[in-house]
Order: sequence, then structure tokens, then C-alpha cells
Amino acid sequence: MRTWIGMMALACAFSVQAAPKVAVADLAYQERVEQYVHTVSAQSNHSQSYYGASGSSSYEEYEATSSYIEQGELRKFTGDIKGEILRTGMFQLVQGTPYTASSKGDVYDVIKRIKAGSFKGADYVLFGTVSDIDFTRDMNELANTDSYSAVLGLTLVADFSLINTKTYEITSAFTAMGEGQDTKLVNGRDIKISLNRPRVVRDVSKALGEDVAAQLSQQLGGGGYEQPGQAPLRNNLPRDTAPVILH
Amino acid sequence: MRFKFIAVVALALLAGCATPPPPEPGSAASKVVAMGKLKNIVVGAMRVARENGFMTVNAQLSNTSYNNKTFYYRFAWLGPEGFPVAEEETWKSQMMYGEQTRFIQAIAPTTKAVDFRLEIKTP
Repeated sequence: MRTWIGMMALACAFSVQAAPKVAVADLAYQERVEQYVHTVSAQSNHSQSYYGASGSSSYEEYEATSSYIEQGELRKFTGDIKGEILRTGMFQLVQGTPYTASSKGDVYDVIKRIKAGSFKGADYVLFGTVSDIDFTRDMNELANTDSYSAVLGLTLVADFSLINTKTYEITSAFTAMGEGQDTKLVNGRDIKISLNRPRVVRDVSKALGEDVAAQLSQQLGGGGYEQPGQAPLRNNLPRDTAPVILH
Repeated sequence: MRFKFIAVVALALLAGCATPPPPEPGSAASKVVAMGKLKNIVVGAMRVARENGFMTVNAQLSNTSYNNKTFYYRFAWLGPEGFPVAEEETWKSQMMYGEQTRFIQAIAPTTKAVDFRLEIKTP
């Protein structure tokens, strides 16, 4: 009888410990959009007859700059974050409601969004905001050759916080970075170089996802996640062993 | 009675003549291959570790005599099947002062090495 009770208790404990559900929000961003308007209209009338000549001309110019702040969510880059989180096995994922142009309220006000039911069924929300995103395009000369290397790079840095949807407690917070670049050797005779932009975006997404999953499991003490990028770095060497003293 | 006594004496003599037991596997002595009789050189403890993927060995050797002694040594690196995984090393010579203790170090030339033998001889 006692064993039965023990087994029942164990079964209950295991069923309670199912992986918590997480919604991964798309990366929020805020951007200042500037609009520059420049309109020129010119008119000129001129008539000439035997008796005289008359002419008129008008010139109008309108110039204005208007700027406004646009908020939105980057729809890219979160796919690999979700994938890597699933790989850790620490969480189950649920889909939240995306923030669209018709959505009211501030994209950064995550508490309001949680209360509005954007992340239904989730125990946690992984909320990320873009800190910086930058494309770089460089041409570097290779010394003693007539070639150049053309580099297209993209770096994305985002701040993440894992927020409990019931208590609004931040369980984990970190900054993650994704980097990717495409390099091509270019000769003076090459007419057009096109660097592979989609591949760079894919690399950034993958690097960001791995970084997020690694930092999440580091902070939550999962520890089961091994960064896939590390295996080739280690050159597949056998594991080090502690010294043994033979007598 | 006399027969029994002779038999016991003969057994005792035989036991005395028997070759010493082989060294315990995994001990420092089991890793040493002495080529001939080692004169006044004693192999002590060994430190074995795998660092950065390569097997490293640090062995302690002592000269038990009051005179300076020279010895030759080299390491043989073995794979998991007990066969060599690297080329034979060249013999290295080392001089030890009387009563001196020193350490010889070696790093496996390949990551495949999982075991080693210290081959040692005295002139």
C-alpha cells in the first residue's frame, strides 16, 4: 500500500513538471522615419507679336522634412530562436498574436499586451527588442594582388527578457547577438558583384538563435544545451581528462 | 617422512626461482619497458592526463647510485587496440647526477593515442 502511494506521488510529481509554455514575441523595434518632400513647379509664358511682346513666368518651390516614429516587429530572425529553444527541451512553444499596424498601444508595453491576451496559454513570454541592426559593406584591397575582397556583413543585437505572464517576474534577461557575413574575392575585371544577402540573413538568424538558447539555458540552469557551433571549433578532439597519478 | 621434507624444500626452492609476478595493470610499472637490466635507474610515479585533446605524460625517474648515470629513453604511443599509432620515436639520452630525481615529459604526437609505454635502457 505504501509503495502504491509512493508511486502515485511520483507520477503526480512528474506530471506537474511538464515543460512550461513560452511564447516568443517577434523582435520589437522603433524607427524614426524621415520624409523629405521637394516639389518644384515652373511655368513660363511668352508671346510675341508684331506690335509687342509679353511674357510671364512663375516659379514655385516647396521643400519640407517630416519625421515620425514607427513601431513594429521584425518578422524575421525569430524562427531560429524558436527552433533552438525547442532543441533545449526546456520549454514548449505557443504562438502569440503578432503586433500589426492595426494593433493599438505601444509595442514595448509588454504588460499591456499580456493583459490584452496577446500571449494566450503561455506561462512565459520571451520578449525581445532590437538594440541595433546594421548592414556593412566593405571593399578591402588585398596587398600585392589586383584583387579585392568584398564583404557584406550584418550584425543584430537584441535585448531579451523572459517574463512570467502571471507575476510579471523577469526570470531571465540577456543581450544576444547574431552575426553573419558573405565575402567574395573580386577582380578588377569583374563587372558586377552581388553578395548573397539572404545567406547573411540566415546566418544572423541562426547565430542569434543559438546565442539566445545558450544564454537561456545558462541562466535557468538547464545546462543540457550544447552550442552546435562549438563542435567544429574544438576540432573534434577527444575530451580532456583529469590527470591521473600512476604509482 | 623424508620424502615429504624433500618435496617441501624443493617446492620452496622452486617458488624462490619463479619469475616475479607481472606488474599490476594500470600501474606505473606496467607502462615501463626496460630493455635489459636497468642499472641504478628507478622509475617512480607518473602523471597521465589528456590536455587539449593530446595525451601527456610526466614520469619521475631517480638515480639510486652516488655516481652520475646516463640512460636512454623513448615513448611508444598506443591506440585503443594496443597497437602503435605513431612512428617510432628516436632514443633520447639523459644524464642524471648521483642521487638525482628528475622528471621527463612527453606529449603524444597524435590525438589517437590512448596508452603509452616508456622504453628505457641504460648503457
